[in-house]
Amino acid sequence: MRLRRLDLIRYGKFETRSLDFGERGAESDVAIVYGDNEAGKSTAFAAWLDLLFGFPRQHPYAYRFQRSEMMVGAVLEAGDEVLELRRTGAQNGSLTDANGREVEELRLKSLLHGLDRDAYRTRFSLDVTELNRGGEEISRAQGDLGRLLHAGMSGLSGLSDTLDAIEKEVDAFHRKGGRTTALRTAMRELEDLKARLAGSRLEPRRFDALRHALEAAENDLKETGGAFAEAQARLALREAADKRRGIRVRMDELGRALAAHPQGPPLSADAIRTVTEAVARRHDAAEGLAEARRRAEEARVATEGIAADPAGLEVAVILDVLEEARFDDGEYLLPRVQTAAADIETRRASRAALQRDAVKLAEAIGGPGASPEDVRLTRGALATLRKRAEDLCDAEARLKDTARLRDKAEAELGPQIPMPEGRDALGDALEALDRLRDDPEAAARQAEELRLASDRAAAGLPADWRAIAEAGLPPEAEAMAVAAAATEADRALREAQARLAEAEEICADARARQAALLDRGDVATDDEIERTRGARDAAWTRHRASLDDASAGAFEAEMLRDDEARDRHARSAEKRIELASVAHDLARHDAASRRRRAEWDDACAALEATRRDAAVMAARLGLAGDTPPASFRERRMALAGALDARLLTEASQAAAEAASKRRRGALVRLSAALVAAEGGEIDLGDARLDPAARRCKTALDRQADASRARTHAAGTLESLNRDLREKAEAAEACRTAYTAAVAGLWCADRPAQALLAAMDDLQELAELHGQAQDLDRRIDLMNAALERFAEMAGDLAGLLGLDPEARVAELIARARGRAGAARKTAQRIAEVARALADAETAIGAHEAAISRSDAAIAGAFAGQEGIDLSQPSETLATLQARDALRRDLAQLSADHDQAGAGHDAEALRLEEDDADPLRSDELRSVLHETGEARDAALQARGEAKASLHQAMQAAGGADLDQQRATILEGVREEARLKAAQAFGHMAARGALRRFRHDSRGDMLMATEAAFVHLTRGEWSGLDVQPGGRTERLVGIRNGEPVPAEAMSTGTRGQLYLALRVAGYAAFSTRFGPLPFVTDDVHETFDDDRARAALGLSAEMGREGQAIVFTHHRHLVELARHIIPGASCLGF
Amino acid sequence: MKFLHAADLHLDSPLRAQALKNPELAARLRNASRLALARTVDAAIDAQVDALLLAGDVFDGSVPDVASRAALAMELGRLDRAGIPTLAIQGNHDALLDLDRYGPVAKSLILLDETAPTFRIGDASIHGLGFGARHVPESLLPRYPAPEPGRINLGLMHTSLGGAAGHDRYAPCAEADLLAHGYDYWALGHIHLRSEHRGERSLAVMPGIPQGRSIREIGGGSATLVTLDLDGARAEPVPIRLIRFATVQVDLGTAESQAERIERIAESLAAEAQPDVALAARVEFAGAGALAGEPDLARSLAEEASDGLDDVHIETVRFVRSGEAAPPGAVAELSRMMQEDAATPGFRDEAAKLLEEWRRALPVEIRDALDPEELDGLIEQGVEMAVLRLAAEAGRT
Repeated sequence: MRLRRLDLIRYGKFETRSLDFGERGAESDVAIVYGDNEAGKSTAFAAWLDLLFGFPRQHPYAYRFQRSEMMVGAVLEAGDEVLELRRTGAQNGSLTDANGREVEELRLKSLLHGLDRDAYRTRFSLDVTELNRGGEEISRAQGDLGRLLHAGMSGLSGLSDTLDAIEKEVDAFHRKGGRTTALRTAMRELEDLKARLAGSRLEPRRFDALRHALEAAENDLKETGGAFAEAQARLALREAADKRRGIRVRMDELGRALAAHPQGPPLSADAIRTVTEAVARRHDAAEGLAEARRRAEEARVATEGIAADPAGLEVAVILDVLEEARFDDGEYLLPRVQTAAADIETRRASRAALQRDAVKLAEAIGGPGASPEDVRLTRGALATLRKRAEDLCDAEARLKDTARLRDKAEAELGPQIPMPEGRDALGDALEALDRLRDDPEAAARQAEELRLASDRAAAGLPADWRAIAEAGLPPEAEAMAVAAAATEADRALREAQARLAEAEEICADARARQAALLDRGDVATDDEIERTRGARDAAWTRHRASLDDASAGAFEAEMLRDDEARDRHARSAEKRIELASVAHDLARHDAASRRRRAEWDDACAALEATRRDAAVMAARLGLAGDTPPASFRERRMALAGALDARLLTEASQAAAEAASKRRRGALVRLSAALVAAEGGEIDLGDARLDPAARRCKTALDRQADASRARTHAAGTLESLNRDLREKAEAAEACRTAYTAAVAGLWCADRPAQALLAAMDDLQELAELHGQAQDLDRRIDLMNAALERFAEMAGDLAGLLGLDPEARVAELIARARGRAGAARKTAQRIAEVARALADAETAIGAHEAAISRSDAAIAGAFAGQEGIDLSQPSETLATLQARDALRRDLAQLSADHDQAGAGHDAEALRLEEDDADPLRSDELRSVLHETGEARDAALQARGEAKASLHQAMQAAGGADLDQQRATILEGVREEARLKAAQAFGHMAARGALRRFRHDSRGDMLMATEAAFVHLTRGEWSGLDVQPGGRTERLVGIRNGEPVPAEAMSTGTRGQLYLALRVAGYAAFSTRFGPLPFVTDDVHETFDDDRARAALGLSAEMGREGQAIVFTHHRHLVELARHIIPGASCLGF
Repeated sequence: MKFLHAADLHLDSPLRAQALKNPELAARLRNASRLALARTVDAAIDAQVDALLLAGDVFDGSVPDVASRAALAMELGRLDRAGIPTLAIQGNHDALLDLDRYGPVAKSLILLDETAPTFRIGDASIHGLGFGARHVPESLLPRYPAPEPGRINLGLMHTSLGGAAGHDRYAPCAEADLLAHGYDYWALGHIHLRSEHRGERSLAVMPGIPQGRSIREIGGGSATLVTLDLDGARAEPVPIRLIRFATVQVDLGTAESQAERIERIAESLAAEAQPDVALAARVEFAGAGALAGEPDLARSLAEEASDGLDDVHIETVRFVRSGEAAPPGAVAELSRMMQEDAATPGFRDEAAKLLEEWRRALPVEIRDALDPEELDGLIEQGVEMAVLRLAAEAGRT
């Protein structure tokens, strides 16, 4: 397909503009379109795309014409056929011929070989941005030949980015050996949760331990709680006695203070409130009286200096009426009057000027003497006339073009060509072979790799490992549970042992302290003085019975021993307390030590049980009975891994054998297809069979293309004959419609072209008429406003002392000033009179309030002896202090009784009599110690209870289980998605590999030729080198290969341009040419390279059609020089 | 007489839902199975039933958390105080469980087994045989007592009946034999999808799991209230679940903007949502076009739509494959070649190897997600996604 002319009929800023590329040049079909920036080059390309594919729904160029009014047209050459088409914004049937008849979209689609808008744009247009992006694609593709050839063919430059992004996303989830993938992270989280789960589940053994701990703690609490309660009661009794003694001393002091205050009844709350309020009221009234007298004097002085303005108030009344006045349309009078007074003369001058312009236009259209009324037409009539005239001109032009195309098509139709046979079968056989290309070797290599991996996985395992694994491995959770239980039991035993040792050590310390205190001998216990008193009494009994010296001496000795013991008893009170405390501690530590020993016994038993479980598990994993449980999981994983690897190896070996068999079968089928296509016997080896088959396939493809082209040309000629007849009929219909439209008008005898030339003036005349009508209406409104104002203002100027002809604006401004001042003066006079009356009323009220306050104070103090009424506040304070002392005394008496409540009266009396100052401290010390013991037991019980409660109330392992399940569900979904993405990526890779294989021959050669040409020999060629799973494109400079991705930015751009040129050639060869549009791609080239690039455009023009947009004038000259026959157009 | 029949509580078996990535929802449903038990007990008390029947798999394993046992004891204690006894049998999951390790779970819990297969309440005789081992390959029906004449006879049985997808075959039993045994009502358990089987004078009900645990368990969500009188046996489901898993179809065919797509999704989700129960939805898009190439974006749109709805959460998104040829345009040729390449044996072998490697890399519990049977579907999905993504990229340039 070739574009002969592009018509911007109503499109963007253009109207009836055409780019006529003319006939195809003899050697090369190249058109250079020159225009400044913003001249409309992009608009023209968009119009070309819209013609081919329709207008987008939201159109960026619909600013001068509505989308529905836009129209673009083109004359296309397809083989020998010439098509003139129009595209409009209609919902249906937007593609028409030049006469407005609908044309099937299929006609264009077949010319475009199925390409849609995006595909055509990317393949057949190129600008600087795309050139740069293509250069970047070369860099990103790392020279991958398949990707580069695809980019050159399709024009797509984002392929690498997208494929890299997919690969990156897949790798981010899972990559063999990857340590930071999402899957590995999730696996670590799952492992962590699994380990935490073991400790979180409330399993029966843990529950039993918690329950036993609680029972022990409760017994301990019961014991220590009893001791504490007893000590508490003894101290409470002592403190009550101390308190009562203190209260009695305080009561005596208060009685003495009360005797110095006045006599009389206690003051009631009402009396206190009455005195307080009366004193406050009297004070406020005195201050208010002084203030009221000052305000009255100020008002009298102000009244004397103010004078009223009655004339100003009259002006205010007239102004109010004017301010509120409105016209019938609701607008206020004053603004409009002021505008009218200012503008009316200017409007009258504009109206006269419009009339002069209209007369001039009328003479230009209708000749000298013609008046505007004679030649003026309505807007509707003008539109109809324009449409009829344009239709007639277009129809005549289309008829002429079609006749010429039809003659040419008939002359160029050649002989018929038959379709070749056997081509499809040969193509299928080649494709089948391509799909198997790497299959057998790769499968064999993979099987060998897996075998080695399997051997490595089994290294270090016992000889019968497979039998152990296939007999059934214990679940991983079970192996871990046994290991965890053993670790836990071992840890519990160590802790129990440490706790036992610590308890026994504390116990020994307490026992040593007790022995040390007793050994010192300076402590006399109650038991000791009981014994010495008993011995003394016995000696006395014996002495009284015998009354001899010996018994007297014995008695004396016992008496002295008893006295000494009692003396020591009195001196060692503090030491006795210390000894009692040590004894108490010893008992407590003894009990703790016994509990720790019981715990240690339990831990020993638990450890033994876990060791038995571990021995059983070791046997199931093929390990010795004394193997540490920590290695169970590793052994289990090793066994499972080895078994998996061995099974995988066996499956892979079977797959390799099958792949080899498939390859042999494909070659046999290819040989049979080649024999069928070429005829006769062929005996070629495997190595030569493939190239021979491909050469044969290429020849058959070319013959098939030629046959299809001949059939298509015949169809085109038939279509042109039909088109010619239809266009002649259409032209006649347009002529009839035009004649009918001008009949009876002053222009009835004017030709359509002449009428179209006068259209702009006629349009302007209609515009001038509309403007004149609008001005007349405005002048009338202004006159009415000025007359109404004069009537309503009356003698306003006289009242203000102004000339009756004064300007409206000045009159209104002066009236507003005078009215405002008069109103303010009247308002001030009224305010001063109100202030004087208020002040005189206040003076009377304050004087009455002072008298009432004095009477209330005297009544409240009635009955009190020896008080001063002239100082009511001080008197009130004295009486309130007296009443407070009376209340304190009563409260102390009640406290005294209260302190004794709840205690045995006799015990309390004895305690009050005992004045020993050390006794209270001694009791507090005992309470403190028993309290600490009780608190410790309480805390231990609380902790045990909380542990059990927490374990029971907590979700156990449910929370962690839930987290684990959520992670697993996420991984499940993500794994499916990423695996699918991985397959998509694999398929894209495979497709590019095939693309590389299919396109590398001709296209690579064409790219190399274009690249050498573009670089003017600086690069001598291109080559292909193997690289990983694909092949890499390299450039040759100075005999050395340079990877494509290592080229400079400019060179990569040139390589991309070369790829696109080659891609264009490949497409044209396969399907036929389409116009290729470049937009200022030469601006980054120096003159030498621009010359070379234009040379390539000439090369493209030999195969098809190249359209070069540029805003560099020197490129136009350069193109004329380099490309013979290139057409040059300008915007 | 009235009974509330439930089965397969699977106490402390977790929910397997991506929706629980939402911390507020995760906190609320942390103890979903225990909350479902509490709702079951509430329903029994509200309906003033004569007994609660639990047809096996009360616990998910044979060594449960003592905390789970405590939760069961607390809930059955509430029933006890309301004067409602509980009759239960053990299923395949809790077959080896020693329920009496710490004494009776509740005063009114009666465990039916070989030693005491029948218990009588009023006019009803309730028979049951629990699992004594994890795997019971043969039918238990012949060992059930004969119906007692003149009384209402009910049977509790944990069975896979004739077999069901996704459930192991345990204590299989033909439906016809069951209904012909002479009992008025069979309270069944094991299969998590609710179903009713009616015979001439007998009704058997599989109540389904009271709280489905994942998008793969959408057929339960209730207990069954059974009424037995002179008119025979009647059953009606009583909603229990706290969260409902459902697949929601959304047609995006003609939506032109993201806002319109979000609106379509929100409409479909709102139509599926029910009051008082959270919804975890697998959104299946039809006519998604290029969006099918960008599943992360699709999920974002779905979550945006669900944000405006009360207690609606997105479990996952899927795409209904269009099955159309590759979209026309710049990638059409590449798309065709990808499809051809994906159909070759070499590609399939490489893909199968990759799938196996990935499958082994996954945690054991979810390896079924990449089962070799899934290979074809995953390849088709992957090729379509890649083509759509390349097409979208081509449209942007």
